[in-house]
Amino acid sequence: MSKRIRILGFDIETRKVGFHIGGKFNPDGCEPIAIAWSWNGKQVFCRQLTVDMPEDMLRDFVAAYDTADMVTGHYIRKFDLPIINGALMEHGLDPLSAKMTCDTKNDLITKAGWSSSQENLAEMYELLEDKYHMNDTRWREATRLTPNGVAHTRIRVVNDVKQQWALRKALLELGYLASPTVWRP
Amino acid sequence: MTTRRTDFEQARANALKTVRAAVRLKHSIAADEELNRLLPEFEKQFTKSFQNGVLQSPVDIKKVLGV
Repeated sequence: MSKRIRILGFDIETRKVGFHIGGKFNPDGCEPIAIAWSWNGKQVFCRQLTVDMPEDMLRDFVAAYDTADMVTGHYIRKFDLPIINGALMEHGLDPLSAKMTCDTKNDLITKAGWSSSQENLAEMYELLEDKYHMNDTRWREATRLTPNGVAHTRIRVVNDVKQQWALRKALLELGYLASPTVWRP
Repeated sequence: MTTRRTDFEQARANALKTVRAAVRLKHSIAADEELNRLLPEFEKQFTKSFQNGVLQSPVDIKKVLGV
């Protein structure tokens, strides 16, 4: 019997924390301020700082992550997953387990000549789902966790999850995605 | 205690060994050719199915391959 597998799409928004880049050790500190996820690209769950405690935001995401057979997102293997893992470790929680991943940036078949940002790919393939644009002022509000900033972040992260889901579907139909691979923390 | 083979026995053993090796090689080459033909297509189908949320069972796999 074939088995239905559970695919979880997700995205995070982050802010810089810790030392300012430029010091001797040049650390690039950052932490998640919002995590959103979806099982179908339509209904999106979101947890974010000020609305949720950091530990609750992380735990709720991990609960979904642990029941997924595969996770998908844009640049997740080199950005989102390691950052979530770092946040889990900072809060003394269990790290993420190894997971099959479909990364719509890193699993694109070899190409050159244009940007593989989610925004650009969505535009190129004329997806209906829009990316919520964040200019510098909005980012400053978002990272300072002002009420306006929190609202901007929520729209941004939720829209990104929906758009990435649609993007993955489009890329699969075109045959532009390589085989999924396991991410190991 | 070891028993030495006669020249005839040794020649026969060598000939049988050569035939056995030749037949195995023939089938092994044929198997490699079939695998090289089948596996990429099968892997493509398996991955496509997985990406669309279905993990194919070994029984389905045998059906796909007609074995």
